[in-house]
Amino acid sequence: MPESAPARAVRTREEEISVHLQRYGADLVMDTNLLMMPGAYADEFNLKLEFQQRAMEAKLVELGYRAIMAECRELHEAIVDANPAFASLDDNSRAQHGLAAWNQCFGALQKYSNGVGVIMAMAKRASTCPFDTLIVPAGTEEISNFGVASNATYLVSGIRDSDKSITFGSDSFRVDPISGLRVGVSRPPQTFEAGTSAPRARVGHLSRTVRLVVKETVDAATGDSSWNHMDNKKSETNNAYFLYDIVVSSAVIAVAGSGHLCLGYPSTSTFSVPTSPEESITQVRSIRRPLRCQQCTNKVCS
Amino acid sequence: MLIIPNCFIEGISARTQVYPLKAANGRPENPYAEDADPVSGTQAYFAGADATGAAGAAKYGQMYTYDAARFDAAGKMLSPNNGPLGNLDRPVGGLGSITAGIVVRKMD
Repeated sequence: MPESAPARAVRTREEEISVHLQRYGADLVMDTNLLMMPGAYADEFNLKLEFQQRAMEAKLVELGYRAIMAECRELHEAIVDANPAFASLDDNSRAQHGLAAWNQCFGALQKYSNGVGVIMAMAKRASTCPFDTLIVPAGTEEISNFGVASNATYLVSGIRDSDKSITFGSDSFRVDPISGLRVGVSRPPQTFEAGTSAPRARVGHLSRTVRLVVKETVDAATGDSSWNHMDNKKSETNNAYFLYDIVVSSAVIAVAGSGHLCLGYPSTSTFSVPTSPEESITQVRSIRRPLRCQQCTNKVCS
Repeated sequence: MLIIPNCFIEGISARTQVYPLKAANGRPENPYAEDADPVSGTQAYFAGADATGAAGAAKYGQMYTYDAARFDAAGKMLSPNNGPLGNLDRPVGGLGSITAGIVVRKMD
C-alpha cells in the first residue's frame, strides 16, 4: 500500500563546488632573536611584507588583464551580432563585416580626431550595457586634454566586517567631457634590469603583435611611390609586398563594478619552526578565482 | 565588458619583404590568387625570402593584403590605404612617426 504522509515542504542540500585556486606569494622568514629589538623587528617585517604586497598587486593586475584579454568579447564581433542589418547574412558575409569593423578599430585612438568618442559610439552600437568606464593604453594623448580628474575607488572585499573594508583611489582617471566616460590608463609594468635610475617599460598587459601585409608601388618615371614607414623614406621596390609586425594595444570598455577577480588576500598565519626555534615563518597567501561579471550571470559578458 | 581590439598602435617592430605563393615564384599553392598578384582586400598565402632574395620556403600563412597609399613626388596623396592602417599610411604623422614616439596630429 502506498504510504500516506505529508510531503516535505523544505529540503536543504549542500552544494559542493570544486574550484582550483592558485597560490601566489612567498613566506616571510624572520629571525626571532630580533624580537629583543622590537622596533628593528617591526621595521624589517614591514619591509618584507610591503615588498610582498607590491609583488602580489602586480601579479593580480597581470592576472586580471590576462583574464579579460582571454575571455571577454571583442568589439568587432559584437557589433556584427548586434546590427540587425547583418542578421540575415551568411557566415562569410558576416565575417567580412567583422573584418571591416576590425579595420575601423585598428589604431582608432590615433586615426580619428575624437578617438574616445568613436570607441564609445561603436560600443553603444554593439551592446546595451551602460558603459561608463574605459581603460586605454598608456600614451593615449587625448585624455591629457580632459580637465576633470575623477577618483575611481577600488573596494577590497573579503573582509568579514564591512566597516573594515579597504578602499583606495586612483588619480589617473579622467572624465571625457563629451561622452562622460571615466577614462583610465593602463601603464605597462616596469623592469629595473638597467638599474633603478633607468626603469624600462615592458610589453603592456593589453599589447600584442599584429601582422599586416601591404603592397608597395613605385613609378620611377613620375616619382609617385608608397612610403616605407620603417626607414621613413620612399619605397624603392615596385609591386612588392611587405609584412609589417606592428605592436598594438587594446582598450577595455566596461561598467564600473564588473569583473570581480580576487579574494582571500592575505590569508596569513605565523608560526615558529619546531626544528628551528629561532625562526618564525609568516605564510602570506593570495589566491584568485576566475573573472566574473556582476551585470549578468555569465562568466563573461558582452 | 568589451575589448576594443588594437585601437592604439605602439609602433613597428619589423618590416619584411614577402612573396605571394604562386607559380611564378615556384610556389603554386595559393588557392586565392592562383598565379596573379593578390587583389587589395583579399587573402593570400605568403612566403619569406631565401638567401637570394627570391621567394623562399618560410611560410607566413594566410593574411589579408591591402595596397599601400600612394604619394606623388611632392608628398601629396594620390590614393589612400583602404586597409586597417587607413590615414596612418602617410609620410608625416603616420606609422613611422608613431614608432618614433611623436604625438600624431589626427586627420578624420
